[in-house]
Amino acid sequence: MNPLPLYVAIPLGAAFLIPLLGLWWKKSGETLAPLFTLILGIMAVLQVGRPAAVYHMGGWPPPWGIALVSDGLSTLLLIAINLVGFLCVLFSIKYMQRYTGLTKYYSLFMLMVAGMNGVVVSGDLFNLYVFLEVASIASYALVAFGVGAEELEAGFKYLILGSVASVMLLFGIGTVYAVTGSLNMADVAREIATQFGGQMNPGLLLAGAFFLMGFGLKAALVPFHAWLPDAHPSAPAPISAMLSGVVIKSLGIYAICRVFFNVYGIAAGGAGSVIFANAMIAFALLSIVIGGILAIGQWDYKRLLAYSSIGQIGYVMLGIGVGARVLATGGQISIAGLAILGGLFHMFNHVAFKSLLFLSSGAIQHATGTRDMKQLGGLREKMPITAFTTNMAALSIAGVPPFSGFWSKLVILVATVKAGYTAIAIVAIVFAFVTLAYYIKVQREILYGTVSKLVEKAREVPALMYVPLILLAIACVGFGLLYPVIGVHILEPARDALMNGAEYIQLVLG
Amino acid sequence: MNLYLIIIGYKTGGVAPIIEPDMPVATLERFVDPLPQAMVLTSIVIGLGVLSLMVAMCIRLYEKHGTFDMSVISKLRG
Amino acid sequence: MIGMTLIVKTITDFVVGFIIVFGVYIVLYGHLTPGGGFAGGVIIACAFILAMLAHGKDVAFSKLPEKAAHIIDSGGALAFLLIGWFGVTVGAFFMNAFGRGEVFRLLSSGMILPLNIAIAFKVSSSLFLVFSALAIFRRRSFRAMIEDELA
Repeated sequence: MNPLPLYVAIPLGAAFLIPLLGLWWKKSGETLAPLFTLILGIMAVLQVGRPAAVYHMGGWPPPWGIALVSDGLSTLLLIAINLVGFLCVLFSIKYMQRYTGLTKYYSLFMLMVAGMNGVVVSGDLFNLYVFLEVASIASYALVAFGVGAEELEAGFKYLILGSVASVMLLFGIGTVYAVTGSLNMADVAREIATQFGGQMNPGLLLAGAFFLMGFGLKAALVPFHAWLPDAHPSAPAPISAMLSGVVIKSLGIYAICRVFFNVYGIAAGGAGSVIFANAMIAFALLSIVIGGILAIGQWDYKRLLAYSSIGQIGYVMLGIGVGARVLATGGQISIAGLAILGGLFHMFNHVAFKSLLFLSSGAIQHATGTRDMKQLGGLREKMPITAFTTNMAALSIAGVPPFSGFWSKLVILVATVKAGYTAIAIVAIVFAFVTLAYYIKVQREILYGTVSKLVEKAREVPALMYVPLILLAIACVGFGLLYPVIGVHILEPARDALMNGAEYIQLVLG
Repeated sequence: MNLYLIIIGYKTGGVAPIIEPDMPVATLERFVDPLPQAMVLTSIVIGLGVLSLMVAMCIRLYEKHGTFDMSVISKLRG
Repeated sequence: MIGMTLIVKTITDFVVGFIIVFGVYIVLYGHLTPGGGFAGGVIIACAFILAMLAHGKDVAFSKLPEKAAHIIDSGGALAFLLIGWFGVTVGAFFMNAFGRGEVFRLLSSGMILPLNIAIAFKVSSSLFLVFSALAIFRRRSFRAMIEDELA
């Protein structure tokens, strides 16, 4: 049987089962949430190598019914969401003990996973919007979960900006529906390809601008990034890891890719596709530059990581944008493929090392009670495992050779140079060194140096907390070394799904 | 926003989109689009969810600060 | 005296039953006439909210205890999913597993009626919970404010 609806049904069922059982059984969340996310993660990994599949909800064939679609790109995101979700839940068990209302926490967590899985497998624009809202509302509540003044303010800010994004998306979807008369993504793509000959009329351009703004806000690309540096540090650490690791990617980057490559057919190079590709590259460069510059000056560890997320998302977007532009201007397909592959690989790596960094920041906060870098130092002696994993992630994200981050950045840069955008590549290289600089700052201030007063009392965190850290650290190294396996089985199908828009139409509409 | 969605489905002289077995084609062509109202209903439900969360957060913020003045509340730099 | 004046209480007692019946009607005929699980659920929730406004939260909670509301809330959503799973037995998630019935009868359109009922349970109890949560919040923050004033 086709397992696609299970990706939504299992976490959704769990989200309602946990509070129901939680009325009598206090540990329901801690027991059921890891179990269900583990099942989902295993399902997602087993999905690798299977051919792309379509599921017709209620037996209605598209374009009338709602279709669920899994192709290479969906599989990539499903693996990331569910495995990171599992590790974050595992980490939560000990970390969240000082909070109250834990069944609600796990319920919201599963709701967020359900929303993200829904976004990733949905083959329908409006359905995508609904799942995006489910995931967003759950994440607003989770950011404010600590109900301190700071958490509430960050959550409120995130909520307001997120609602603005939602309205923009709804406008965009409405406009697309008005122009093409369909909401099924493949059907819309076919309409655009046949009815308008791949050209975009003003309505589609307007809708595209709305999509870029709305999804860009969810992805925290720079002109729309204001919520992220507040929301990520304020949320509990596992939630920061989820937000930074997968939420901004599945709600932002994935949706941008899906809409512009598969629905708008940006690769076919109609009028307007160059505009969108240019906008993507511009946002990407802004994110890289501003994220990098602002990260250096931060003394709050999680805030530094948040700004670093903005910068790294910029790299992902740069790869995808360059690929889109090369395709739209009719350049060499191999270069575009390389750029998109680099972008997706960096996204995959970023899932591993940024969730690792946020989880380790949670471990540090758990042990020392602070995240002010000035009060930390010499953690290497007191918390060897956490320090080791933090080191791994920092080296990987900074792009030090044997680690995965180096290879993905290298691929993006090589593709950018090959495509002829040398100036952009130079900026990106300079800010790769800036990334290195602020992670050296992290190492110097937190891991090495003299042991500070707070750190002296710190103990290594319990096993349930450091096991996820170790697993993610292995992933950080492994993705770099095992590239031949991961590349062929996970990344290349994802790239092909993006580059052949016509295949998507074929797949869904048959 | 919701009005915009409804306008998309509007047709002058439209009828309710319910199919009966022996219906002339001319009537079928005058159906208003039933999809936008489903979209609007969904967006209203979502709006309700967001609004109630927003109000809850507002009340909690008021508890902490004793005011709704954003210049007093804002401590984070963005 | 807890709650509002005698006039309001009497009228509320009188009206609440009708509101609930009307809500149930909207739910049951949702597939034939305008309305459905959400609209009907909101109306049922309004009846409880009205009772809470008129009589205070203790009376409302004695009619629908908070724990029961939580159970109905989650149970409704689970029921929705379970009914969806019935569809799998005939081919696909949310595929109509029951007979279609005759057009314009109460028991027509197969799965939509039970789905509407599930949604109505979910919506009515969760709206009631949202309202009661906000009402309790407000009371607490006012008390905090008054204590601040006194101190």
